[in-house]
Amino acid sequence: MDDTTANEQRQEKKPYAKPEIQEVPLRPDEAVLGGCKTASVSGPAQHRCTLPSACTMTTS
Amino acid sequence: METLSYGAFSEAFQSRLARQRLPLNGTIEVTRRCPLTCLHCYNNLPMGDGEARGRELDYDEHCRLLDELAEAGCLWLLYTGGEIFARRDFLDIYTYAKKKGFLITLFTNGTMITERIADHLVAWRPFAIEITLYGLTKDTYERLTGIPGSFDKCMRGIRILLDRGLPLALKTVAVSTNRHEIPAMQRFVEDELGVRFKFDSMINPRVDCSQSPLDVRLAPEECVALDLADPRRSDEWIQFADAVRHAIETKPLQDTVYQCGGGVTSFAIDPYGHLSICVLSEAHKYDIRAGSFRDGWNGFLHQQRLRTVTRPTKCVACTLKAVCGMCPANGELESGDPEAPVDWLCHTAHLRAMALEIPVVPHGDCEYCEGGARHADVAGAARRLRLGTHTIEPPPPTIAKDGNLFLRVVNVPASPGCGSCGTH
Repeated sequence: MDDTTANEQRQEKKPYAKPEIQEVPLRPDEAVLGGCKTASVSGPAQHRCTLPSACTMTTS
Repeated sequence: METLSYGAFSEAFQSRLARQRLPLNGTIEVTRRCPLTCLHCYNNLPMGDGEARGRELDYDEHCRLLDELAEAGCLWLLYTGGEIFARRDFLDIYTYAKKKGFLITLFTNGTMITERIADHLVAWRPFAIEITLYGLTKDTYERLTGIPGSFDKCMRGIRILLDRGLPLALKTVAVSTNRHEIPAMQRFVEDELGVRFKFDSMINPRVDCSQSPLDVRLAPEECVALDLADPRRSDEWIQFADAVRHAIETKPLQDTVYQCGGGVTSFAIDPYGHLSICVLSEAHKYDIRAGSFRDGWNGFLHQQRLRTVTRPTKCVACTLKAVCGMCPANGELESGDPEAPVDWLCHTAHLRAMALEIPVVPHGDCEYCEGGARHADVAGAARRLRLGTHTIEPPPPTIAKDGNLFLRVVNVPASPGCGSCGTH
């Protein structure tokens, strides 16, 4: 690898951004998707679910 | 440290990763054995079913599975059954999963909850626990479960969990034996117990294709009457239907048989190590004992998800999907055909839409839409429901000759055969 190629590769690298930690309180009442399992949840409990994208089996 | 709400985290996380097709959400049935014999249940087997127990994944197999799931990127797990605590080793399996870092929800009937189990769950806290309450009174509850004493056991289990501050929510299935107690159940759970409550009236046949659960399924008018009885529920239906209709109109659905997250972000594994697109799907499975979860997810399940519709049915272009519940798994169980519309679902969806004044966009040859053969009947029923002239009566008790109340069980002749469960 010549110096020109190596320099180009260094310039393509994104600047370093320090990872940030965020705390997420686990609150099941804020779950955005409901399960479609029989006798669990359907309809209004999926009120934030958009069917074309996802319909999960869990409270997630 | 900055705090991000769980709702915001989950929505952003799932939306972003859905495009990459990762198995984020898994449902694991640890057993189909259960101490109850609920009439509506789609999969229960007797506790003493030795043949079934012998075929269940053992502890070591569950641990290997969990290792694979963690490696594949799964984060959310739902443990269900049957009854999860029917397995003596369930807490061992659960603890292994907790140590792997999964966010775990437990579905249980609550009757086998002990203080020892609850104390263990305090030490290894699940993300959520959901118990199904089959009735508010002993008579109603046990009319569905068929097991004397089960009501008291369930209520005891609920109390044990609540006393320890565990994340419990209660729910019920709205069926013919308990529909008269749904509003009271909601008040009891929300006001007296202070926990979340939800109910669902969608009942489907058993995974072995027995139609017996349909004996207690509500009529469409009864389902929608329950919706209208709760203004909050009605509003949520309307908002949900509007959101889904808007999503369909702005982003046309694919021509795939499955339109849900199954095989995209979610999967199910039965007690015997078979991977499928969801717990209700019995027709197409992959044996992870003979292969690996990764191969099953990347190969088999991906192919299942890519299956395209074979013919245009009235479901393909229907914007009432939000209030319907039709899915290929339902179709397979009802008729053996994943694409065949389920009449009960279609009828209920159109009635619900008319009663809640949700727009119904023409979607092909549908008998419930305007101009269809049954439209006038459904429109009339919707009018009666809006006027509040439909009443919810308690089911009549069935009296045996000796004067004792007994549970009436109707034996439905086995269907001639289907392409769903593959066993007949």
